[in-house]
Amino acid sequence: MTWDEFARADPALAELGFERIDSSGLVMLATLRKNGFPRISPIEALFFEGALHLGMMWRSPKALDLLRDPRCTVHTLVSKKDGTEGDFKLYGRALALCDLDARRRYCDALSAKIGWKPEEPEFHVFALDIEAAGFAQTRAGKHIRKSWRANDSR
Amino acid sequence: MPAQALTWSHFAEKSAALAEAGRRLLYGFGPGAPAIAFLATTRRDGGPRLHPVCPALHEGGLYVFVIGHSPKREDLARDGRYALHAFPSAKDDESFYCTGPAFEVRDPEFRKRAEASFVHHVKSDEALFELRLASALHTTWNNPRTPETSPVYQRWHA
Repeated sequence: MTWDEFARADPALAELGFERIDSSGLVMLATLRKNGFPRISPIEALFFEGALHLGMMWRSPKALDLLRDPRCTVHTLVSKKDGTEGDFKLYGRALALCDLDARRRYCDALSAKIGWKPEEPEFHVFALDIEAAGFAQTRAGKHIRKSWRANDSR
Repeated sequence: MPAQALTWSHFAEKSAALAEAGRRLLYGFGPGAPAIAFLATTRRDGGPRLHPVCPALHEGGLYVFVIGHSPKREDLARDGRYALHAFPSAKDDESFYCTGPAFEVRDPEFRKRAEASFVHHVKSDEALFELRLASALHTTWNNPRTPETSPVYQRWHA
């Protein structure tokens, strides 16, 4: 499901994730290489038209991974060595954004946020179809864990 | 699984500059702080899993403790293929990444010495894995975040 659908299903968890992702605009992405090894890449993330979008350089290895196998994991950055800020992650599938009008609007939204945008056609952008989410935080010796799955009946 | 994956020290003999960049970026929080990185493993269904971990360079090898009954421990025990990425710096657009097979270390004497070299407190149920290196990549960027940006790669393969 899209980010907005996830946010309606679990508003509290989505709020934690939105704050962590939107504040940095960067996330770590795990994809699968052709040989089955996982790959990790830092990438730009942007909330745009109700979905979390992942931007990548044209024909970059991670983009080719996703075009071959869309399964991926997104994890927020960690800026404090004690981990007190909490880790938010998403499991899902990356769907290539191919519509030219939507890609133009994505570029405009990215430019409005960071003052830079990629040039057509030299970039890939994917919308994340979210299957599960999780948040873990350790603060004052207490472990806080929250999770959500798309197929949960709650 | 690559047959020629090397220990960290053997990798450093092959590619000293890349290993030094890796050490610097893994220990990016500075002296006295633990190394911190993201570890990717392969789930039972084949999809990727991603976690922050605290690895350490110890006795010439790259090691990581993972929680005993955690999904990532099960992943590594079932399918040792891993990827490790040093925490990216928001300031300088530089990254270090390596892949290879992970092997569980069961020698109690070695484990005792390894525990002492880790900055964080290692719990008794944590499992120790050595991360052998089959490939490594150091990336810097010319003109980051501009239309003229281009990556500069330094690569090594076993």
